[in-house]
Order: sequence, then C-alpha cells, then structure tokens
Amino acid sequence: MSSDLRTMLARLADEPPPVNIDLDRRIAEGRRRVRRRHLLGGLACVVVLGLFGGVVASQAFQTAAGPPSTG
Amino acid sequence: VRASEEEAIRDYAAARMPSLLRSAFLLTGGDWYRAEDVVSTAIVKLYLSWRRASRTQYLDSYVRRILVRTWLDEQRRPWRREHVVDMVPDVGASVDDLERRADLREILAGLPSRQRAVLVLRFYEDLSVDQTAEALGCTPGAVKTLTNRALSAVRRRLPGTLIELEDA
Repeated sequence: MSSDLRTMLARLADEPPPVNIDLDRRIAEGRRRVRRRHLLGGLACVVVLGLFGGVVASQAFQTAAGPPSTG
Repeated sequence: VRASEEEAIRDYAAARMPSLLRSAFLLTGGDWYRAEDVVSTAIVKLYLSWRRASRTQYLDSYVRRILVRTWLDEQRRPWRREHVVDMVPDVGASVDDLERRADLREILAGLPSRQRAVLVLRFYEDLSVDQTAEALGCTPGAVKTLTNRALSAVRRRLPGTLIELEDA
C-alpha cells in the first residue's frame, strides 16, 4: 500500500488542536515588551547624553581654568 | 502600537490560529503543547514587528517565517534541544493508514529540526524551494540537500510512500 506524503502530513495535522492560546495575554505581553524596549531606549539616551555632557563640562572647566602653571 | 493595530493583530491571529497551530504541531514532531508555546512566542514577535509586517505584501509568508525561526531558535536552547535518534524501527508496507500516521509522527520526531522544517514547509505548506529557503533563512541549495536527506529517511522507514517533487 502506498500513500502520498502530502496527504499523510495533512491527515496527521487534521485533528482539531486540543490547545487554546489566550490572545489577550499574548497581546498584553507584547505591550509590556514594547514598553520595556522604550524604557531601555530612554535609559540608553540618558546615559549617552550624560556621558557627552560630562565630557563637554570637563573640557569647559579646563578651558576656564587656563593652562596648568609650570611653577 | 495603537488600539486599532492591536485589534488588527488580534483579528489576524484569531483567524490564522488553527493553521499556525497545525504547522507548529508538525514542526515540533507532533507535540501540541510545544506547538502552543511556539505559536504564543510567534504572536508576541508579530506584535513587536506589526508595523513592518502589516506593510509587507505577503503577511502570511512573513508570519510563517516568524513561526519557523521561532521554533528553530527554541531548538538551539540547550534545555530544549531535541535528540535525534539513530534508528527508528522499520515498518512494512502493509500497515494500515492509522499506523502509518503514527509512524510518520515518529519519523518526524526523529528527524533533525531543519530537515523536519523542510518537509513541513514543502509538503504540508506546499512552498517552493525558494520560498522554503526564504522562510528558513538559507540557500535554495541547502533546502534541496535537506529535502533529499529528509525524504531518504521517510522512504527508508515508510516504504511505499509516494513523494512527488517538481523542483528538487
């Protein structure tokens, strides 16, 4: 007896799925992950701007203080 | 993501759920509960990339790619890794259809994950070599090699199985 592989695969998956996915929970999880992503993005911006501001401030301070005395 | 977009995701996922679960069931080698995990993760990923996904011409292909890659990613995790068995018991050609289905399930479960994915995509989803390559993120040549290996395993273990291929 021979059977077609396509038919066999289709029959194998033919039973009604005995599981049910809660779409509301999945969507809520997606929403949480989007928020977390935005939060992390915001934090990264703050860190980069803070570092940049620190460098600029340090250079301004050195310029204002003038050249180091050779005494 | 706006409320209207969430509604669109919900509608799309609800409409495609049985089909996604069936594909995942075959990909996982016949395990509905792992299929549920894979589809759940794929839906979250779809939510995260909905704006890009909804602009594509073929949303179903995009979602199929998410599903297959989610499953392959899961396979790479050490605690989820499946172990390929060396030998699956041979069966004769005279077994009835029910037994052949059980055997096919066993064969699928024993195949390496990418070979199984190729069988499901090409023979269940009816994708071409190029579409399968795109879904798996590999070359068409690799798809042909994987197809040949997977089919050899099926022929060896289920003699008498008809396999029609146009382009492999």
